Amino acid sequence: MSDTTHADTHVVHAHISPLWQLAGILIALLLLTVATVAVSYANLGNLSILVALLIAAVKGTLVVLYFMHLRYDAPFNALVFSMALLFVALMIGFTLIDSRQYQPNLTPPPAVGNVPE
Amino acid sequence: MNQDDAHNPHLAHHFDSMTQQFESSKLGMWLFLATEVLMFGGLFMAYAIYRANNPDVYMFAHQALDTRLGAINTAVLLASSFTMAWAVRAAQMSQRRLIMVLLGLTLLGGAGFMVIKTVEYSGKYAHHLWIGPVNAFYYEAGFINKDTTLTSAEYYVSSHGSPAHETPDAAHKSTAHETTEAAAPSEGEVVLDAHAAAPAPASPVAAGVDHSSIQLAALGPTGVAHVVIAEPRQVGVAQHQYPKFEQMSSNDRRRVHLFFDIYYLMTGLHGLHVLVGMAIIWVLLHKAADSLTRAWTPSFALLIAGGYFLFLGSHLGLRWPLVLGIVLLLIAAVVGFMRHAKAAADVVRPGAYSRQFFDPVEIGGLYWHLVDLIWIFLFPLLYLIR
Repeated sequence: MSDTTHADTHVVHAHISPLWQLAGILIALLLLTVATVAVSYANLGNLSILVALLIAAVKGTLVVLYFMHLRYDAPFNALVFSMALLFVALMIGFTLIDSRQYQPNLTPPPAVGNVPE
Repeated sequence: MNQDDAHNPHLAHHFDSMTQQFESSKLGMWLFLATEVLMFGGLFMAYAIYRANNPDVYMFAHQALDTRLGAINTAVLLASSFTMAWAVRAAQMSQRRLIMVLLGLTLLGGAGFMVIKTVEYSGKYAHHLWIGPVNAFYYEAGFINKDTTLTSAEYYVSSHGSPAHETPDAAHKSTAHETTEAAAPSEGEVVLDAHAAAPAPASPVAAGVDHSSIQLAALGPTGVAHVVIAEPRQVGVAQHQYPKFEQMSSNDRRRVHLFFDIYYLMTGLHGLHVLVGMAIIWVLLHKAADSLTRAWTPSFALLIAGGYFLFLGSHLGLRWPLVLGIVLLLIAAVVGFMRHAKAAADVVRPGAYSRQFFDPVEIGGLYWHLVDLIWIFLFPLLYLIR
């Protein structure tokens, strides 16, 4: 930035993604979509949500880094976005810690109609 | 130094350079995207809390979602994300014709997503799996909904939201051949035979059917034959131990409708974002087009809307969307030719975006990618619950 010449101020200096990179990311995303569906049919039990979220996180990272150019962007943009993700994680994480504690209070009164106990 | 910047008409006077202007607008967009993440984060939290408290409800109810349609929609959205990213590249390289083609394809991708979403929503609506009290599983004052709706809804759930079979009867006949290697019929099938001869009462409580002789618990809450639930699952594809409705605790049974509320809230808000993204992409397309092509961009939007309503009318078997669709297509033609005549009489001006100025394409693209990003998480969390 400091060594910009006169002509440089007329155009935007931004990363131009090569087409092969964009196409490669698309193929990777589609393969990961197939993978997440395929893995869901393997009986992984409680692990399956972790695997699904892990694959989704990889896909999301690819989209953010390459389709949204965050890898080549000002680091501050990445900071802004990751802070939002961090606070969502904090919000969900801390809420989940004790959400089950209220389960007894959530129990509605005994069924009186067509819902047998 | 700053005097030369006046050469680029797109440079606002309060910026030093085009790069600084570009970086500033991107920072602004990322801040907005951060608020979007926080907004959806609240919904993901609601999802997580309900799932932590009622895992069986999610296991049962998510079966209503068609994994195939969800996966196709994921691919459609990913592909349109790719064409959007390519459109940004085309703008950066002043490939003016390519920008229009790619933005048009991206717009069509968004429309395709909404069409598939319509198929999913209307299929659930037809089987009484809608929002709030309209949901067959809605619980109020001790009662879950009426038998006819509940049977239809339960059938839809247990058939994985597949639109292939329309009625429980048809499905029963067709799957009977396919389930040769399936497990022995459960007790539910016996119940089916017991009730098959008599017409199902509108309400077992009101009709006073004697349940004591046929084990109320095995029948579930409705007392009528649970055709589909009793049906053995096909071996091979998905042999998960999904809970059946009558196997769930009564508390869980009363909360099944919550899954659908969360599903509609999350996918609905996401769908709203798809619509907004489509509007943004249309504006980009309109500005990216040269003056001759720009004469047709409103017609393109009307074409998509008209096509959607034609699809809606034929899918739902309704007449008014067909009429509306045809009217929109006629308007598209008239508007297009009128604007074309006007534009053809004038000098042809190029589109707005080139390597000199492509900021809006990049910013609009960021929004579209965020829509894609949210769906990347919604798809496994809603459709692939195991």
